[in-house]
Amino acid sequence: MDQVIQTFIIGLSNGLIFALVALGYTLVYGIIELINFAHGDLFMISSMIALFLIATVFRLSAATPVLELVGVILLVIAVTMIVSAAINVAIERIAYRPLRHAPKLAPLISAIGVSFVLQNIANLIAGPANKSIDNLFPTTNLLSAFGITTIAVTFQQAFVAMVTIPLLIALTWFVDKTRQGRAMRATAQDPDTAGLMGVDVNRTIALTFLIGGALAGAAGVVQILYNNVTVYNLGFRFGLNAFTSAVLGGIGNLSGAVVGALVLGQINAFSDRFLSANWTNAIVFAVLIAVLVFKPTGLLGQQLADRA
Amino acid sequence: MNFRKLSALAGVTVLLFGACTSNTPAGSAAPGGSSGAVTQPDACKSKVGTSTSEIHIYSSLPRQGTNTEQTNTLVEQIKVVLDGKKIGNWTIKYFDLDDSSAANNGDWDGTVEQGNANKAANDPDAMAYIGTYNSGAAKLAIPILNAACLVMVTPANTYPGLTKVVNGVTKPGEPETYYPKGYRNYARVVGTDDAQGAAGAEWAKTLGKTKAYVLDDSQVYGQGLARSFALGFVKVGGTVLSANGTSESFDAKATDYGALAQKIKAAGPDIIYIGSITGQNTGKLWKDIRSAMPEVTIMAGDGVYEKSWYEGVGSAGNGTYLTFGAIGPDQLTGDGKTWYEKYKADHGGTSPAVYTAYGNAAATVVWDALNKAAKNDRWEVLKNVMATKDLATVAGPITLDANGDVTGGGITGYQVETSWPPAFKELFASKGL
Repeated sequence: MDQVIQTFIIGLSNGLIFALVALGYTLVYGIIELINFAHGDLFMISSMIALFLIATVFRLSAATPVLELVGVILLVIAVTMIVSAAINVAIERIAYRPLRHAPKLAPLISAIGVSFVLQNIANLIAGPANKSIDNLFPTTNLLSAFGITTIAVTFQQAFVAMVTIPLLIALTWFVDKTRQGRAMRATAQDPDTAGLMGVDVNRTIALTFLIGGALAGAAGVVQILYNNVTVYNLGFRFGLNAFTSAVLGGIGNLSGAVVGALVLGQINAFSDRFLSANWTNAIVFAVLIAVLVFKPTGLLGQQLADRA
Repeated sequence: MNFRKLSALAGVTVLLFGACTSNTPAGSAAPGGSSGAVTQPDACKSKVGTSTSEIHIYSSLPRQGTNTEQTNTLVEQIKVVLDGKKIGNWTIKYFDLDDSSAANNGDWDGTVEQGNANKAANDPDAMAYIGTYNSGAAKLAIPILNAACLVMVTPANTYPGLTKVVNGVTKPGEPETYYPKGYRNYARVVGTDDAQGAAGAEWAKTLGKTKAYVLDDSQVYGQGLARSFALGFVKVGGTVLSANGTSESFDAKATDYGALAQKIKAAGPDIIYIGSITGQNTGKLWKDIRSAMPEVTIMAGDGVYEKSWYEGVGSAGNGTYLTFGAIGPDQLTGDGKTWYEKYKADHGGTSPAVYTAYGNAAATVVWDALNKAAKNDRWEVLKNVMATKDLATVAGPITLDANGDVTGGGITGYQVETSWPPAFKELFASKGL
């Protein structure tokens, strides 16, 4: 039983990171029906930026005093989110907006092109090898304070939850409760009508990319502090999982993306632990096919835009 | 866009891909390899160069990604030995081909390798093909060159099935399947992984290890090496805990190995052996294993013996035992030692990569055969390469057996302490399983 719980904790941590990335896919698809293939690579760029800030600019290590560590990590999260959001808005402005009224294939190809550009930039600057940092957090088991030693929850896993869960709640609140969130939902439902009703469609779409980029930025920081390693093609690995999560949960549905990511994290972890790591991808996609055959709109349906 | 169809298509594609790349169970091996060519095969008739002034030598190596740390030095050594040298009236012209692709993350790409082999095979003035770096690429190149009577000399392929049968490691039909014309055209100047795996197993035993968990990256090299270690470890009295008592493949595209590390930890090994090349997500794998089992001993082969591997794994790589399937550059003697010191002096104190001397040796084998042939005839060059005996090279004297494998040699053991490069620990005699 301990092994099952331990595997669940590992799956939960990975699922939460997938969720942050998946929201970027689902937000953009919900608004402009574009599968933004560059989103995974933006996440990779964010993890590179975070690594640069942590290892080169601030030179953090496990020996850094706790208060300084916490302060600098918060700063790194903020800086990376801002830079990543700015990059995503620029991508939208340069690569997608001019193709807004082109056939759907055109922005799709453009997204693939941006994906390659981001990968090549990272390869050019950071090189092809893995780049790593050492773990900055204490390695003690947080549960040992409660007398539990057979199951471990690390500081790294707690950090993932502490960053990810508030961001997910904040995003849901923003989309559901604010004026801009209402504009996003209106644009997702019918951009022409939303425009006639006074919504600035271009600005709303740019805002969506801004939020998606900021989430990718946060995910990049979480990723480097949790996994301690990044590489120029990381975006493909995570992007595939995140996109699959979004489809599994119901593309365009924010809650669906989170649920899909959490389910995917668990499938990955349990397959690796109890079956064979080599078959995990096959199992993930078998589950995805099964879900889509019986529930074509994904686990929670397509809420943000009912037209996928 | 219909997401149901799109997702189903993606799913089916990945399922098919998974099926294609899944483990092939080790079955009974084919009978022993055919002997070296003596009579001229039909494929080698009329394979004489057309140029009166040039002989072309090709190399095919991954020239992007993490591999460049090794292959830049290999190309440099090939140039030193061959490029611009004269054989009678002919001047050697060297072509440095890249068998990697960006689409394959800078690692070798089968389609590119086949293209390279065809390019060399179709050049009438090509007299030798130096490469490949990866055993998987060699599987594709050898048959193409075999049909064209072009000799291939590798400085780095170590998968045994390319030249011989090793029960439990090589696959049914190997190595004959790579030689469609029934004669051998492939030679190597480094030892094979059955010897490297066996040396690793012997070393693990002397370190007092009794229970091993063996992982591989699903590639030809990684799987062959890991299975060799598993077999060798059982032979020296150890227990292999991974699936079916042999190696277990990990997914190099996974985002996390935490659950896999927990699975390994639950099995209770005192040593984990990893057969992989650097580019197969090894940074993350090492970190997750170390995180779950800070004290466990990790051993790996020469596929990760490079600085870029250490940059990726960071301190999680400290303590790792590494084997190299030949004599390490810092352990060379005689001319090899002189070459090693000169190399360092010429490169600002930087040591050569582990395979650098073997790049020089492979080129020397070709150079010697060209001199003996003294003409631009593929059959004559091939015959002389396969008959190499007691040839002095910087990697030591080289004699090839009937399979094209180098005889003798050794396996070098290193350990990463707290920085790169690793420290020399042991030198093992090269023995098979």
